[in-house]
Amino acid sequence: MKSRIPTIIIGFVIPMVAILLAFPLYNKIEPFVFGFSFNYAWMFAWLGLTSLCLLIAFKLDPYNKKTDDKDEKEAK
Amino acid sequence: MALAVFSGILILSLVIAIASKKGAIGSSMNDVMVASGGFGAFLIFFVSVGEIYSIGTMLGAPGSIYAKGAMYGTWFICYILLAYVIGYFLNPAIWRMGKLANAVSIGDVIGWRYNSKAMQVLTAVIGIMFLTPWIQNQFAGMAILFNYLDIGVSFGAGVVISSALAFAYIAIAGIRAPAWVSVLKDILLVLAIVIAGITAAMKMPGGVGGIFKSVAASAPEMLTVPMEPVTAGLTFVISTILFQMLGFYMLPISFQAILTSKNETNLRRNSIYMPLYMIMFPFLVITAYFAFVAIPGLEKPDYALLAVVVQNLPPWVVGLVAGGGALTAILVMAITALCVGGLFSKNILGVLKPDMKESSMVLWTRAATGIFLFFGVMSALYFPQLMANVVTLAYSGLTQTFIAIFFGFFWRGATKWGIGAGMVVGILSIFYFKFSGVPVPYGLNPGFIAISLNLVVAVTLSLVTKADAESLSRFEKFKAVKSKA
Repeated sequence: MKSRIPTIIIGFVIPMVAILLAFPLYNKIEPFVFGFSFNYAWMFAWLGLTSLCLLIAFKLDPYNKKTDDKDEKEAK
Repeated sequence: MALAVFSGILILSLVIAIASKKGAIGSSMNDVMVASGGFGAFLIFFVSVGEIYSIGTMLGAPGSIYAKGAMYGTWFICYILLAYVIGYFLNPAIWRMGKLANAVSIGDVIGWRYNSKAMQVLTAVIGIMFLTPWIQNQFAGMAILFNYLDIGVSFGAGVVISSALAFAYIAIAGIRAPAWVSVLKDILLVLAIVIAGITAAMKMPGGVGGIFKSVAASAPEMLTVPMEPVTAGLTFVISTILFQMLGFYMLPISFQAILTSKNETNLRRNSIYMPLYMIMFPFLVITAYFAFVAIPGLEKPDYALLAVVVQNLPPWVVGLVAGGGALTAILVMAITALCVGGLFSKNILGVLKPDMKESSMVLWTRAATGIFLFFGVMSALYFPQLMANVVTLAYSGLTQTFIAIFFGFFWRGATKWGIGAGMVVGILSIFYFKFSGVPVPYGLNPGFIAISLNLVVAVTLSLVTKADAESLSRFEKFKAVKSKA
């Protein structure tokens, strides 16, 4: 079975670092981005970026390939 | 006009509930509680957003940002977002164990894994106890809605109509009704929030930038979390995010939603879309800060979003927002009451009376759903002042089951003695902080301390006690399904 480590890094570690660990770095007002203070702009950007991380994780995830195969077999 | 739009929305929701009924419902717990695990990706999405984005999101989130600033904004956005990250990995495991246990609730799963009726009852009792504030929050939201928006429905009448509708959904079609009504509810909820946000941005010279520049100039402390000293906000915000992101899928309502899924791949796929649905948060934040600048001194901060709507938009839009808000509250009430009904009839009554027929269990579920709603109405009408900070209270108790679930998946040696004692200690420390008035060390979230104690007790007692053979074999069975999956 393929390793699940890339899935865990992209789908779990990266969002946790960007949102939780990086908090002291982005908790500031300036620079303003699209009118928002920096912290809000950062968090809103990560709504989309988290979704993207999970999408990539999903594509890499060896667990899905297996369940997909099983679903197909069940359908037949 | 507002009243016509409002009534139209509620009537439409009832039509959807009736249409969602599939065949003869009423005989099987599995069908009533989790639609026999038959939901595909579309309904999984709506049943999961349907129950979590409550009237608290629409009114409470902008209200607390209006009153307290970025501490609350950061907390809400981050914990929900990270809960989805955890959910991607955790939810399929919950679903797998749910299948093995033939579960319709979190009580079933924990009771199965630790081979213990007492654990099943304990989990159900905690669930019912701490879902009560969750439902109270919906009534509190409705009080704000009907008292502030003068659409011709009094709070008393609104509460009675809403609970009757919530009960009707469940009686008609079990979980299927709220799942389908959720489609309407979430369209309206997002629409109402986006309308408020766009209105705010258009009314302000300089748009979004104008709003934030003006707050930065007049009250910069509202825009960031205070860092010095750390106990002024940082420790609270971070510990609350950490704690609530673990609790998100432990809410018995979220847990139940996971069990409605047809397969586990859909659950993973669902986690990808969930953060995108949070697109309403930028609009909530814009609305809150606009109200802070343009409408200072509101009698209650929770009026912030409604004030923006009422002062700037025509009556039919007010009716739309009122309808969306009320429907949101009704839907969350319906799902929560159904969940409580199931916990009561299956995990408490079913344990006390093991020979109970499934058909009478379904009847009991319906009765308990109705009774729970009835008590909700009574307490909303007579004790509305009891409703502050209830969501935090709900999380503080419900998250305590996380240790049981997590060790249930990963630690062979976890025993019912350790896990059960851990949960009890967690709940007792919540009550200690709630009622003793003792300040929480380092300004941390009390639930975070409670779950830390819970963890220590669970590990220590599990190490000195022995798991019984049946619970060990169930753990192995779960592992076997996982590696085969």
